[in-house]
Amino acid sequence: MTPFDEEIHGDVEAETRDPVAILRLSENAEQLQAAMENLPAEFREVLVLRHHEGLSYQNIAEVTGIPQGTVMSRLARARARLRKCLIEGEKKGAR
Amino acid sequence: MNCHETQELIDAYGDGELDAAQTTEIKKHLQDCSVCLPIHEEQRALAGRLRTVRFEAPPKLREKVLDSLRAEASGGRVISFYPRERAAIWAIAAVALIGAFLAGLFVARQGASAPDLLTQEIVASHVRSMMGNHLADIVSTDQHTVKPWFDGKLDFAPPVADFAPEGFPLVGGRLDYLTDRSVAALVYRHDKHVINLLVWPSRNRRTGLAPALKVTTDNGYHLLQWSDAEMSYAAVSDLAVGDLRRFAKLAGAPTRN
Repeated sequence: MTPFDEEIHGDVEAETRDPVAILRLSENAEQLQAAMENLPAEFREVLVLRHHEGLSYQNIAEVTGIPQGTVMSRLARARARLRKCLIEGEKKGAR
Repeated sequence: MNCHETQELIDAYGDGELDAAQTTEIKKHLQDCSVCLPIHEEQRALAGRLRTVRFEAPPKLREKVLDSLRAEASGGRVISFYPRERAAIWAIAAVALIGAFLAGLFVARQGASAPDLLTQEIVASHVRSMMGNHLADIVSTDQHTVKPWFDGKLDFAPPVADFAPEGFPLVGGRLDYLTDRSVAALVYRHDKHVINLLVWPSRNRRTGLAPALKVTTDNGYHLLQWSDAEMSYAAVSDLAVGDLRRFAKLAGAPTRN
């Protein structure tokens, strides 16, 4: 079992989600690119290693030199931030 | 498992990083929970999109990353006996990826990147289909029964053909889910082997590239992938690769790799 660390706690959101909206928002390549570029480098790094290179948490931990528990929590935070960026990007675009 | 516990582990669940017991508990919770299920679905949707993000790195560096990843994949070993050498490989990979970040990123509109993840998902779909009793939602050897069954269940009409005379009888069909979309799964048999033919609309309609057959092996399963102007196809089975190629040819695959 992957050990937990402090980063994961406090990030669990209770709000309802809308998978269709996220699909729609991320469908626009430029919006997705802008959202990725707005992420802090350490968030972008874990997202790329996981989703682009297909690495496991253990391999991501080896590449980045952070503990496995931190990989898990950092990925969760990176995704939450990316989602927020996408939603905020849309709001800005609507103005 | 309650909602709070589930949501703490839901990312790791989506990444396939939990053990079997936790996976089963979360799967069970998601079946009944209208709060947690959308969170999981949203993550899957986003993961599907993220797979299409491509990073440009200097070609030499990129090759080094790929080599180290290939070595990792072919070694099939999760924990290295040579941590120092491995650390060096990963350091190169890390440098390359940092280079990639600096070089800037672009999004591949054609979704051509990260074939390894797609391969894994296709093989996982095949393995899933043979567990329990979920090989087919519609059991029929008649293509004129199977094809209309997909009407209204998918936003496209997959071509369905029976190859019984050639030794690959159609067994049925089912709906499946791959990266970020629903796909048609056509089930065939050859002797005692099961072949899953997954079909979904092609994203590369306008590339004008000559079709090619992609052959991969993952966990002992052979996988052939190809696309035509309309559809993308993936045939997966534990059949010998020669037999699977014969099947793929019947299903319209190009013979050229």
